Amino acid sequence: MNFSQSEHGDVLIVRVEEERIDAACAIQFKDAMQAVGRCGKPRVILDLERVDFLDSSGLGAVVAVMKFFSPGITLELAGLTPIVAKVFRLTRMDQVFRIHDRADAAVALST
Amino acid sequence: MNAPTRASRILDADEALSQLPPTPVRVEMRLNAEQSAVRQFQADLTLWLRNVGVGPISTANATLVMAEVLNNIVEHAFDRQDNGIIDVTFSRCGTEMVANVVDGGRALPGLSLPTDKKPPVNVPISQLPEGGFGWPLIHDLSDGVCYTRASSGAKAENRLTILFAASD
Repeated sequence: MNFSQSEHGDVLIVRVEEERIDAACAIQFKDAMQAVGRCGKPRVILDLERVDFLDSSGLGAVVAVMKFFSPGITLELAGLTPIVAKVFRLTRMDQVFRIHDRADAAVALST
Repeated sequence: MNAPTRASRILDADEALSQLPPTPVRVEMRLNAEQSAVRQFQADLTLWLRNVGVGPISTANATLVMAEVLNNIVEHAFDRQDNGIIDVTFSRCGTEMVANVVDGGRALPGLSLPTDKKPPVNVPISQLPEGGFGWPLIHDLSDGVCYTRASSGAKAENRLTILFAASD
């Protein structure tokens, strides 16, 4: 599970450098995000622009991370591609997460 | 005398062929009941659907549903034991697609399909669901699902049939 990270003031952008967050890698994703949770930033934006595919296991992993981060760190999402956006919409999880078109534009917005 | 109407005109061969119902196409795939095989299956299915002219939205829907169905079989029918085998037949006929999935693992609880009811999201963060999304997604993105538990003698199998629209 590969990430690239960049800091912008109080915000950490975590860009997932994988094409899939699915049953085969959900556990690795959660483990990798646990380490990110020690970053000390109150706001983490998960940039999913490279992720073409996310299934219910991947969704569960992202939700688990949000819960694990809470309340000290808020987790937001950016760059949802069509299938990923569809999964969040159909499960109504798009009402739970703050979702941005682009991670870099999201940094400027207040919490 | 009036010229013959279109309905009475003899069609030439090209026109006749274009008015025939689309020919069904079908593929059979067998995979081990493990997550890496499910990933490979999805890649293979995506390619096959593209080759038989199914559009990107229908392809995405079918691939996601099949991922959910197959992951459920890996996780629950076989409980991640070794040597589980899943047989999938996928057919396309015009604007319809059908998947038949057969496995020799444990039966669905209660011998019935799980609910299409979505886990609640309007709850505090600490109570957000981390699972239970799969079957509602399967129901949402398919035109119908049927489940049969078939047994003859010592052999028993699960048979799932999933209908999809190939609408793009």
